Amino acid sequence: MKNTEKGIGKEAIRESRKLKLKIFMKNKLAVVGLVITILIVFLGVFADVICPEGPYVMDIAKRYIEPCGEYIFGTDKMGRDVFARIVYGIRISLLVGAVTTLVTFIFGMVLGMIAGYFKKVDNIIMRICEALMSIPPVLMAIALMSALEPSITSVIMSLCIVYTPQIARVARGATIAAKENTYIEAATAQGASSLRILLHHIAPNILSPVIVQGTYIFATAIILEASLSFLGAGIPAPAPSLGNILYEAKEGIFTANWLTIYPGIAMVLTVLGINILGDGLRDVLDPKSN
Amino acid sequence: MKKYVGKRIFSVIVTLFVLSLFIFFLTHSTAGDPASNMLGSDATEEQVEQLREELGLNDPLLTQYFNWIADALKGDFGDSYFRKQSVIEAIGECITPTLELALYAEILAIIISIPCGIFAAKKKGAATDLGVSAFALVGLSVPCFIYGLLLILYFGVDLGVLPVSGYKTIEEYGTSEHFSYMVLPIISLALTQAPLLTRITRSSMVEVLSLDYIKTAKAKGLKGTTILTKHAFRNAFNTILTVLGQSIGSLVAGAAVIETLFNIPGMGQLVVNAVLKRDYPLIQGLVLVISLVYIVINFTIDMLYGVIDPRIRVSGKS
Amino acid sequence: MTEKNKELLRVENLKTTFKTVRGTVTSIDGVSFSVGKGEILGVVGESGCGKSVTSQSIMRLYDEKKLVTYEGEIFFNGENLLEYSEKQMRTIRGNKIAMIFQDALSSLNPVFTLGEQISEALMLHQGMKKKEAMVKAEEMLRLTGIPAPEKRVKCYPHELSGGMRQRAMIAMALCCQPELLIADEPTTALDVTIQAQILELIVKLNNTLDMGIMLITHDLGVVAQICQRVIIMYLGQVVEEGKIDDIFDNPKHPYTMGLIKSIPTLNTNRKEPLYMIKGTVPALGQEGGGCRFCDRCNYATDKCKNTPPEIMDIGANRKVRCHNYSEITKL
Repeated sequence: MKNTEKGIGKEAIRESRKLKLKIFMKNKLAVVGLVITILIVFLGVFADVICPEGPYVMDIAKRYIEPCGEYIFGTDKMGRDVFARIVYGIRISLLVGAVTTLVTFIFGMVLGMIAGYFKKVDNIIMRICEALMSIPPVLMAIALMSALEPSITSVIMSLCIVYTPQIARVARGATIAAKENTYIEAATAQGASSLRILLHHIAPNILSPVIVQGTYIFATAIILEASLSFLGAGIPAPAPSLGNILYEAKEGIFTANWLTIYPGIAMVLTVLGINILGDGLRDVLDPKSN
Repeated sequence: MKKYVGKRIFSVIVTLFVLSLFIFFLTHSTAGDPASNMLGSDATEEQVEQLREELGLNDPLLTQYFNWIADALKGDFGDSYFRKQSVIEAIGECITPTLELALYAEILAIIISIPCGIFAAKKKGAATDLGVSAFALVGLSVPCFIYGLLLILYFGVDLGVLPVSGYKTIEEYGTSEHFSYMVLPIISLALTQAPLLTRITRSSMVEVLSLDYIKTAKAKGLKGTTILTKHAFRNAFNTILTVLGQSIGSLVAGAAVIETLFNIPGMGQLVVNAVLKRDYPLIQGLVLVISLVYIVINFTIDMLYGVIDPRIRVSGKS
Repeated sequence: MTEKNKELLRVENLKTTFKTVRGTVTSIDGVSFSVGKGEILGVVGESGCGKSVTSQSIMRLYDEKKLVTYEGEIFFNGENLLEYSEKQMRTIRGNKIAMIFQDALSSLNPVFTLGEQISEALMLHQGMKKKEAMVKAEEMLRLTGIPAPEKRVKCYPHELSGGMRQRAMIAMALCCQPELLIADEPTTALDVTIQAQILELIVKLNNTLDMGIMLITHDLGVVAQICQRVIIMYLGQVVEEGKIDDIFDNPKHPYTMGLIKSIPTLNTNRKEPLYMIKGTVPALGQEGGGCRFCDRCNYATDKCKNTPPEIMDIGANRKVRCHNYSEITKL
């Protein structure tokens, strides 16, 4: 009896996955987002294949060359190839975004589930989260950067501290909602341990809203990293990130507009792709919101 | 209502307390020693030690914290290490441009986004809706400094019609001069805020428009526009207001980027300079003040909620 | 009361089709009936049979640009409402034809006071000033029997009990003295005692204001209490129509018989299970080629499976949509 029920369950899950995939593929915009994101990720991942000479090659003789055959996006004030810098910048931006999302996802899930499940610690965890969320993100991130050595790791750490409370809040809300379900009560009545209930019954049920929130964090983390770098408080030079490429472009803005335009487009496309993808995911995972 | 206000005030106090702890320990966990930072590398060890004693840096952390809090409650955040003035003076000097910028940008964002959102919700699924939604999605993906850079490129460099750097007060230079310097920063900031507001307006309007009382309003014989602007919008407004509060807060902070880009001597630029120079008292004071502004705005909005939504007025729940 | 039998509303062959993601769905298909001046007509059927769609089609409440197309005719005082422009329709809605909905809480706007919501229609249709309209709103609330109406006008919907909210809904619907009131399950969400009070109020207002009422309900008991005539709907069609006594004493359609049989009475033997019509209402668009009821009918023949029955006038103001009604009734 139990086995067949499980079998049916799996079948149903497979069916619903197929259906979700269908909904997603039907959403043309989401597919466009997917294509953009795959292209951008491709550029980032294969940066050293696309531009084997790397982003640091300087040639003072070739400063401020306009976009041409050899340098399709031109060169900057130190004669570096802007295209190479953009490709490596995408790599760093994506890395920062992905690691931040992953880390906040894990910490946020754990904190949110604990807060939502155990009433005693709920207040403490949520007060701390609320306090952290009352500092506007940009401000919080630069304040954190002031306390850390400037490096990629510091940037990622700051972003994680900024965004973990957001995930935690969503996870907590979903946990509280999931706890109301009768099957959780049934599991509790059967004497299942809290850990088992959290991992087996609650975690799978709160994944959808957390993943949706996660895609937004991916996108905003990239923007926030860029803003930090743009202020000179993010990824330290000479390593390229989309933000500090634009920061350096500021100096040449009156003479070399390509330094602003192409990295700007790359930045927007990166974030846009992820945002569209996130919207598509939201439509699939959370049909109510549409 | 009284209970509701009391509860909110209590939670604000708790939040502020946690916040102050966070800010204090953040700036005290850092590797660099402010005393040696201030004196530079030429200073002798005695000089550094003397300064540490003067600044109270040798006291136990907890004592330092309570001293800081006690002073902060009196409005004294200490002196900036690098500016020859107290933190509160520095903030007072820089707060006006930031608030002006945030206010103008918010107004512009509202003017753009609320009609767009309502219109899109009304035409849900039609071409106009898709257009508005697509613009909002793209807009959401553009950081404010990119708008700023593009605006500088076009209006400042190509056309050369608008100044791209600096700030002029109304009192000294008059309204038109003031705004000619402000217009590009305002647009950059408003364009970053508008997409989110548009999306929220649209989605909350779509939700409200599907509710039963909209049908009642139609059955009464009301015009479509009356239903939309009176019956639907009044209800959707609650959600919009919450996001509005958050966006004003993030504007004050987001101004940091724009102020740096357009060289406006506001709080944002002050923060950035304080961070780059590791001017801890200034950082502490600024983070606390800006967060306080943010908290106060959100608190006010929560209170407004009570006024706008009669259900909260009675039950005290949100 | 001389005009009692004069026709107020006549619906002819109304067909309402919705456009959905999966294609079009015809929700009601060829519905015809009429309501006389001052008459209370009951419209009965299970959930999903198209009662509410019928009523909202009469008011043309659905979004006609995107959602719905109407076919047929809806004559109100001799004029076809389906030929009216949206602007003309607005002078009808809330003024000549008013509606009360099932769930008063969700049908009242939570952010406006009762007074504001009632006076809105008065200012719109009768050109009253705000103050005047508020006075009238209070008067309407008093008419519906709400205690202390001078206080209630300033109340918000959530501050009232369910019965009071429904009374307020009624006050709102009646403030412009409509000629036709469409009451869509007005008592379903209420306690039995409150239900009786609201029904009594509707009957009283029907007598004093002399308006036609279309009472939509799934509860034959309610119909038996207050209606003069009744139509029974099943899956988007009228299956039987007649005077209330005739229908109860001598139902012709197997569906009606089932409905009547399943009403518990004091004489029902408690040891026997209550009668149930077998099966459930099939989803729209899945009805077969024959009679829409045949899968659930105890008397279905081959003819029923293949040929859809037409509605037949069988004299004495009665109509029925069944191939075999004469044989069945004899059984």
